[in-house]
Amino acid sequence: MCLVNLAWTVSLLIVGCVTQRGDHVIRTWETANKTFKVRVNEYDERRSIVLPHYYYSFDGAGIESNRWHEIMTVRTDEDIEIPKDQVRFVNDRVGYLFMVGKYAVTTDSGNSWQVWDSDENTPNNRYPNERFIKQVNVNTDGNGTIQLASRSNPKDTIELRTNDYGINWK
Amino acid sequence: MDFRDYAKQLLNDTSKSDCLKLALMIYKAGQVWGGSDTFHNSDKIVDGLLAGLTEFSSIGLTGTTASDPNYRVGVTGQRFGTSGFKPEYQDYEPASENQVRHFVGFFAAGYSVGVPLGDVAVYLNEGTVRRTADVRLGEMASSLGGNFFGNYKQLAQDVWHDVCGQSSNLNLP
Repeated sequence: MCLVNLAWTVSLLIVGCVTQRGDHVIRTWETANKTFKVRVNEYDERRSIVLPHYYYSFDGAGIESNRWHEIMTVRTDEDIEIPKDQVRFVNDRVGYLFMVGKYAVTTDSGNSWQVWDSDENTPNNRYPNERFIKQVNVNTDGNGTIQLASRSNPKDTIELRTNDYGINWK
Repeated sequence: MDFRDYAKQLLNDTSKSDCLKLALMIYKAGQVWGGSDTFHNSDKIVDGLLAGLTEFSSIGLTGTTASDPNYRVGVTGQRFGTSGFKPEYQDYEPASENQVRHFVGFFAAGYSVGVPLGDVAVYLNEGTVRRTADVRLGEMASSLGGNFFGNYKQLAQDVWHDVCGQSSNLNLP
């Protein structure tokens, strides 16, 4: 039994190290403004351990193009609906999107995207995934706010501000 | 009433916390699959909980088996949440708040492979040994699973006390 358990542990460690996004698209959704578009694909997980995770890949492309490029990918514990209300266009040049702890913005019609990760940028962050993005508001002049909520305490919310569409939050 | 109908009824019951629903579903699983010999039917109880409340119907040394998506309750769409769990087990992130699913998955891991390895599975699944809500809940679930031998009434009470944090006994139907 010990040998079996040892083998299982080793296999778990190997699997744990290589757990990754699968190829099966569970859901897909696409939206666009006049100049660029955003697609969200939800994928399954390859080699789950106990409970599967789900991967939400946000991709961008020019309005006439089918050459999608990845903006960001977010992993979740649960199979949730694609957060369509979290992909927003400010005008023809500016758009932003967010999910769990990541925010991405373009100010050049989707040619380039800047990704902001709450894990790396939240003041006094104690551990990964400590906070998630609860709400974002960005105005046409580039000013806006982002609310970061604690996973463990719903009353503990931090608000940061931007004046450059969310490329930087302070 | 079968387990799935009971779980669906609880899912829609806004008067009960998610943790209370978990305890009641454990009790129901014992009634449905325990039969007259719950010790020898404990596998059926665990697999029934898994199939009804997670994406898998079995977890073991040889891997996992997918559950029937049409049988699952509260896993996608309208889901169970985090209410009623002890504060240290609560997770308010909307894409991770189904602590019923988390508990059942890690309970089954502990039951199938024992407590120490169940804990290893928790850490690998969560990608951390840091004591987050999911890791804490996983350790507790793995411990209860590793010590489960079919006494579902006791398990429902243990969940009510140790996972939901209630001091009184659960009034079981």
